[in-house]
Amino acid sequence: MAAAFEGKQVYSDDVQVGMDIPPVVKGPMTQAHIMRWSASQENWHRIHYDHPFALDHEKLPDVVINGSWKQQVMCQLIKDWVGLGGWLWKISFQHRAMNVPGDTLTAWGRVTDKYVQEGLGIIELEVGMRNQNDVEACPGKATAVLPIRGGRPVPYPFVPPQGERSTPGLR
Amino acid sequence: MTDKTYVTPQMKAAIGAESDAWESTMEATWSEHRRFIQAIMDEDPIYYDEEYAKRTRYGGIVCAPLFPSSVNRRPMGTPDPLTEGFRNNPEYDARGGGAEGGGQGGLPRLDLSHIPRMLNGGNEIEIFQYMKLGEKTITKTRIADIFQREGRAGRMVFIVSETEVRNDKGELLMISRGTAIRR
Repeated sequence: MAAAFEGKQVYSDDVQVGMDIPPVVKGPMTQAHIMRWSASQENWHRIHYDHPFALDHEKLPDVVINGSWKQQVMCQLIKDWVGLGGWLWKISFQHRAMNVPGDTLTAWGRVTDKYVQEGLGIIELEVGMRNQNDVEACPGKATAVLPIRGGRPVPYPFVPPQGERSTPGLR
Repeated sequence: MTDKTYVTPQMKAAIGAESDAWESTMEATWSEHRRFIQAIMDEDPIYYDEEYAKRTRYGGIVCAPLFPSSVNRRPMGTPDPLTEGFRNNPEYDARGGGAEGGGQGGLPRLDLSHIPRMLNGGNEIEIFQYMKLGEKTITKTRIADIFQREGRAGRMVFIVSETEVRNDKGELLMISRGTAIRR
C-alpha cells in the first residue's frame, strides 16, 4: 500500500507553466460526511447538520459543507502532488460558493509561474474546487517547492528561501 | 462620508500589537488525528504507518498540515457553551460551541462600532513543519496591518492579523494571515 506513494517524486524540471496537476476528487458528499467532519472538529454550528435550521432560519439551500473541510482538501491537493521530497509552502483561497450534499468536489491546480530560488524550484499555482456543475467554490493560489534534479533537497522543516529569484520563468 | 477616515487613532496604534502566547488545551493524540484524517478522506501513510513514515524525512508519523488548528478544545471544568447558548436563546446557532477560542489575551480591544459589518477577506496559510503526536501548540496573534480602501460598496477597513503556531518545543509549524473586512 505504502509503495504507491514511493518513487514518484516530481521535480521542478518536469513542471511547465500552464500544466494541470493531478486533481483530488471527493464525493458525492452526503450529510453523513459533513457530520463526520463537524464531529471531528467538535463544530456544532447547526448549518452543518440541522436541516430545518439551515433552511428556515438561515435561508440556506441545504446543510452546507464546512469551509474548514474544503481547506484540508486543498492542502491535500498540493501535498500529494509535491510528494515526500517537495513542500506545500503557502496556500490561500476564498470561499466563493456553498457546497451541499450531493456535490462531488474536484480540487484542481494549474501552474502559473515557476522560478528558482536558492537552488529550489518554486512553483506558483492557481487552485480551486469545482462541483459537478463546474461551479467554482474556492478560487485561490498556492506556492509549492520542488527539488531540482541533481540539486539540494527541499529542507525539512521548511526554511523559506530569502534570496533573489533566479532564472524567472525558466527551468 | 467621502473623506471620512475610518481608521481611528486607537486602531492605528494597535498595528503591531501582539497577543500573549497561549498553549493549546490538548496535545495531538492519535485518535483525534485518526478521526480528522478519516473525515478528510486522506489516508496518507505518513499519517498512520510508522514503519513507512520512519523511512521518510519526517522520521515518523506526522499530522495533517492544518491539524495544529484542531488541538484547542474546551477544557474540563468550564461552562458548557451548548447548554448556556440554548438557555439564553432557543434559536442559538451553536457556532463555536466546541472549540476553545482563546488567543486574544494581551491584544487591545478595538472599538469597531462605527464599522459593524464584517466580511471574511480571505486567509493565507504558510506551512513550515508538520505537527507530531504528543505535541501541544503555542500560538500568538499579531495585528499585522489596518488600512482602508475605497470599494464598490463604499469605504472598507481591512484588518490583517497574523497567527503564528509553534509546537511546544518552540519550532514554527505554520503562520496564518487572515483579513477581516469591516464597513
